[in-house]
Amino acid sequence: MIVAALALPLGLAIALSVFDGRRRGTQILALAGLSATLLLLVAIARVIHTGTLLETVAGGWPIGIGIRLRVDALGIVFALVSVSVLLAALLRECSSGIGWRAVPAFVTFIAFGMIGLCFTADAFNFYVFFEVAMTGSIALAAYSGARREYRAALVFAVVNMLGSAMFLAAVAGLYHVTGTLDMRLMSEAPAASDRGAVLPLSAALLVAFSVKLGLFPFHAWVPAVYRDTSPMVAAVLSGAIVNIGSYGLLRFASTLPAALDSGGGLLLVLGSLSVIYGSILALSQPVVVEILAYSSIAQAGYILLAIGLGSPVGAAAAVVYAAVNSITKALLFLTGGLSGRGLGWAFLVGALSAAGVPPAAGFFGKASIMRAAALDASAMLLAVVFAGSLLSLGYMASAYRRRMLESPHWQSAGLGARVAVAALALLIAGAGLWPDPLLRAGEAAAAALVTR
Amino acid sequence: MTIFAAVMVSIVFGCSIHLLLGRDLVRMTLGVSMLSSAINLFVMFCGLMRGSPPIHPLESGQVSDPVVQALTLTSVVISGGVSLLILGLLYRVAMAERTLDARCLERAEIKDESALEREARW
Repeated sequence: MIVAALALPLGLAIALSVFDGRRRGTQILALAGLSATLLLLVAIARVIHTGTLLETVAGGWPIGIGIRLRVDALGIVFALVSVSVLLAALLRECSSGIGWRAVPAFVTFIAFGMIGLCFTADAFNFYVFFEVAMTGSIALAAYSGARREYRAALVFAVVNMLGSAMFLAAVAGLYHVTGTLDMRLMSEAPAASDRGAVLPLSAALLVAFSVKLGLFPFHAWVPAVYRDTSPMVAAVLSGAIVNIGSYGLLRFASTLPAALDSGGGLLLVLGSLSVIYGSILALSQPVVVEILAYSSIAQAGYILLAIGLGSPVGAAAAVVYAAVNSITKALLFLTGGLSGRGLGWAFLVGALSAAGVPPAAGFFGKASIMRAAALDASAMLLAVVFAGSLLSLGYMASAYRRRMLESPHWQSAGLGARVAVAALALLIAGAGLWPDPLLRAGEAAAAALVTR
Repeated sequence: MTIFAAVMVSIVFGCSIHLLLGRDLVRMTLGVSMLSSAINLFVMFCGLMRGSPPIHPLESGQVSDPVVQALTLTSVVISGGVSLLILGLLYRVAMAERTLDARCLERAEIKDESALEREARW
C-alpha cells in the first residue's frame, strides 16, 4: 500500500511529462490520477487510525541495512494536506487555462516528492524526496513566464539551494555522529544525546527548514517570490512546500530530543520575533498578495513557537496549526486574480480562518497553540500569541477590504476554479464547526512522535 | 587527515561564498554549484576513508565505508541537475532583462513593484 501510494504519482508524473498539459485529455488524466492518489492516502489514513503501523524495507533487507519506508499519523496528516492543496491548485489552473505544457507533470512530481518525504524513515531519502519536491516547485515558479516570474524563480532557486546544502551537510554529519541514516535508530544511538556533537548539526537543520518555512531571519525571499509568481504557484508554495519545513522540524526535533531540550529557548525567541515582525509588516502592505506573504512569515512563527515548547501538547498544536494554515493559505492564494460570485465568500472564510475567528478552523489552530503556551505557564508567550492574533485580525480585515475592490484585469472564474475554492472553503468551515477529527489527528500525530 | 579534510572543505566553501556574494549572476550560479561541491566533499569526509575500495572480492580486511560514497554519488547527480536548472533560469532572466548584473535586476524589481501598486493587480 505504501509502495502503491508512491508508485502511482511517480508513474503518473512520468507519463504526464510526455503529453502536452494544455490539452483537455492530459488535464483530466492528471486530475484523475491525483484524486486516486488522494483516495489511496485516505485509505492508508484509515488503516493507521486503527493503530497499525505500515512499514516496509526496500529490497527485503533487515532493518538498519535496507532503506525503510514507514507511515505514522504525523506523516499521513502532512501527506493528505499537501496532496489536497496540490489537487485544488491544479483544478483551479485547469479551469482558467494552462499556458505551459509541463504544469500538470510538475504538480504531480511535487505530490510524489511530498508523499515520499512524509513516508520515508531514512534521513538521506528525506533529502532526495525533498529535492524532488523542490526541483518541481522551482520549475513551476517560472510558470506563466514573464520577466517577473523568471526573476522570482531565480531568487527562489538560489535561496533554496543554499537551504538544501545545509540540510545535506547536517544529514551527513548525523551519519558521521550516529553511524546510521535511519531516523529511528539515529535517535536511539548513544551519540544522539551528546549535546556537543548534535547541537551544531541541529542548528544546520534549523536553518535549512527555516528557509523553507520563511521564518524571520531567513524570510527575505518570501514576499518577492509570492508577489511575483502566479497565484496558483503561490498556493502550491504556501500550501504544500511549506509543509516540508514544518514536517521536517517536527520530525527531526523528535529524532534529536537533546537538541530540542537545550535549543528550545532559541526556537521560542525566533518564533516570537517571526510572529511580531510578520504581523507588523503585513499591516503596512498595500497589495493583497503582500499582506498574505508577510502573514505567512507570522504563521511560520506560530509553528516554531509550538515546537519550541517541547511538550506533546505543543507538538499536537503545531500539527493542527500547520495543517489548517496550509489549507487556509492555499484557499486565499487560489482566489487571487479571479472574480465571480461566491469567491468573495470563500475569501472571507479563509480570512476568518487566518485571523483565528471562531466559525473557521483557524480558531482551533490558534486556540491549541494558546493552550500549549498556557500549560507551559509562560505569560510572555501568551502575550506574543495574543498580540499576533489581534494584529492578524487587523491585516486580514485590510486584505478583505482590498480584495473586494475587484480590478477589471481579473479573469472570471470557471467551474473548476469555483469547485476547487469551494472545496477548500467547505473543508475549513467544516473543520471549524466539527473540529474533533482535526484535534484528534493532531494528538495522534504528536503521540506518534513521542512513542515512535 | 581530519585537519586536511577540514581545510579542503573550508577552502572550497569559502570560494563559493565569495562567488555567491558578487554582483555578476553567472559567478553567483557558479558559486551555487561550487557550494554543492563543498558539501559533497564534506559528505565524503564524513565516512571512513582508509582501507581498500568496497568492491567484491575484497582484497584486505579493512574496507572503507561504501555508504558515504553512495550518498555522494546521489548528491552529485542531484546538485548537477539543480545547477543546470538554475543556469536555465538564468538564461531566461538574462534574455528577458538584457542584463547579468544583480543590481540592475534589483532596480527592475523595484520598478515592477511600484507598477503593481498602481494597477492593483490583486
